[in-house]
Amino acid sequence: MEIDLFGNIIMEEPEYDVKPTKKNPFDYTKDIGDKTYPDDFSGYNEWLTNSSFSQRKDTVLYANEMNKYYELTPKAQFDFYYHALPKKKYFAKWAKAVKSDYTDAIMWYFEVSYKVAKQYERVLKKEQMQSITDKYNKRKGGKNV
Amino acid sequence: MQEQFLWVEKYRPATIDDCILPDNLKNTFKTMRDKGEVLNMLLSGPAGTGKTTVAKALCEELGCDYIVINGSDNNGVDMVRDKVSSFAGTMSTNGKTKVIIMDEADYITPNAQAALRNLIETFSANCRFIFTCNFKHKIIEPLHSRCSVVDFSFDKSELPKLQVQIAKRVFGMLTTESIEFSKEAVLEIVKRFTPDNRRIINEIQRYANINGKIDSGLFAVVDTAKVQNFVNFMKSGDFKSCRQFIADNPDPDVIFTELYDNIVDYVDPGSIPNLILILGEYQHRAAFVANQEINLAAFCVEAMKGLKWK
Repeated sequence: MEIDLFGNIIMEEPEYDVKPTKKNPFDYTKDIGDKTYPDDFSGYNEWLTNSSFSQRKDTVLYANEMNKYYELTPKAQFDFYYHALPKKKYFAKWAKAVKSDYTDAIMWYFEVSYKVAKQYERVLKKEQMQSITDKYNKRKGGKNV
Repeated sequence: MQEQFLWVEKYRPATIDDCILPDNLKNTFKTMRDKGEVLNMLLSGPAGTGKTTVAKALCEELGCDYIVINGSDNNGVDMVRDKVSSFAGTMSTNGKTKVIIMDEADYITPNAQAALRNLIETFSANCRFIFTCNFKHKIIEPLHSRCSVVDFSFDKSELPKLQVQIAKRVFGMLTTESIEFSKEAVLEIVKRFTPDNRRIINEIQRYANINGKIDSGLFAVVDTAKVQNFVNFMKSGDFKSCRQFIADNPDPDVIFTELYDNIVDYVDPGSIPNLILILGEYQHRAAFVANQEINLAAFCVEAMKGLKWK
């Protein structure tokens, strides 16, 4: 115990974590499965939560309902899943688009979206894609080969 | 100079007169060009109908300094502030209005769209915005109200005239490229995919690359085989493969349009009315949902459980 100049006991102040811990978007998916109700919805991400539930056959129809009503508040969307789905582990491996070696280069070269780049990829010859990829790798600020 | 490997880029119309559009739409853009002004616009309609092309042609003809920002790749608030502010915040070298073409704007998050609302006003003296999108419902109301909305959803009665124009354009391209072609084969592809001009030209170039000439064999290689694989996954109840197929093919709207012809032969005739209702419902929903992939994945589950397969 320490005493200051005026004879008062110096109380040891507890250490506060000044950085509030924000929940990871995937924590909410876990909460829905575990039936744990969160206090804070600031980390809720509608896009990721809906995508996560769309990976499973038993939850994709629920995901599409929230996909349709995307203007609902995060709390309302969370509550929908929380009350509609039974307690269960909802982990599923994500289906991810397989990018070819050329997709990024085509997107950059023609200034088009991923969707259009995939269409272009089907049309371009391999040597043309290689030529585009070479230019992409040598671009200013890019990876130099 | 950029080497043009793709006909769709090489022969992209550089003027409004060259764009393949119904007369009323073309006249709207001609009037703007003649008045020498670009308005804030929202161009909405299906893929490949010429929204980006006409926006670029207008800027080119008026000599405006412009950039294209793709909303599907740069869709967050930070992108909007950084890219838009750095371009719109300076005067153009020729003293003309600058233009930002915000392509696939329906992929921009609602928060970023809200940020754009303020930026349109901040830079109104110096910069105009042209938004292009497939689904205008996904653009927030304050942006609608700040733009003139131009609809590229063509009436069926307008299609034959457009088909003639695109067919003539394709004949011209093939002649310039010295590719031998059957007019009937080209017309059939044009008829099938109008008004998606990008698809028509890409399918023809793809076949020309494989075969060296355009003949009736074109239909055999038009990319329907992949949709048939998708149908087979549904038929066997393999949701995991369906989901992977959807992730690999980022064109759910195109898949929907081709689905009926590819699925109907695999379904018990008694289930066909139900198939049509399910397909109709999910195609209708596609205009309103945030994420097209999820909608198509949900369709798969409905089709798997609601249809009797042969």
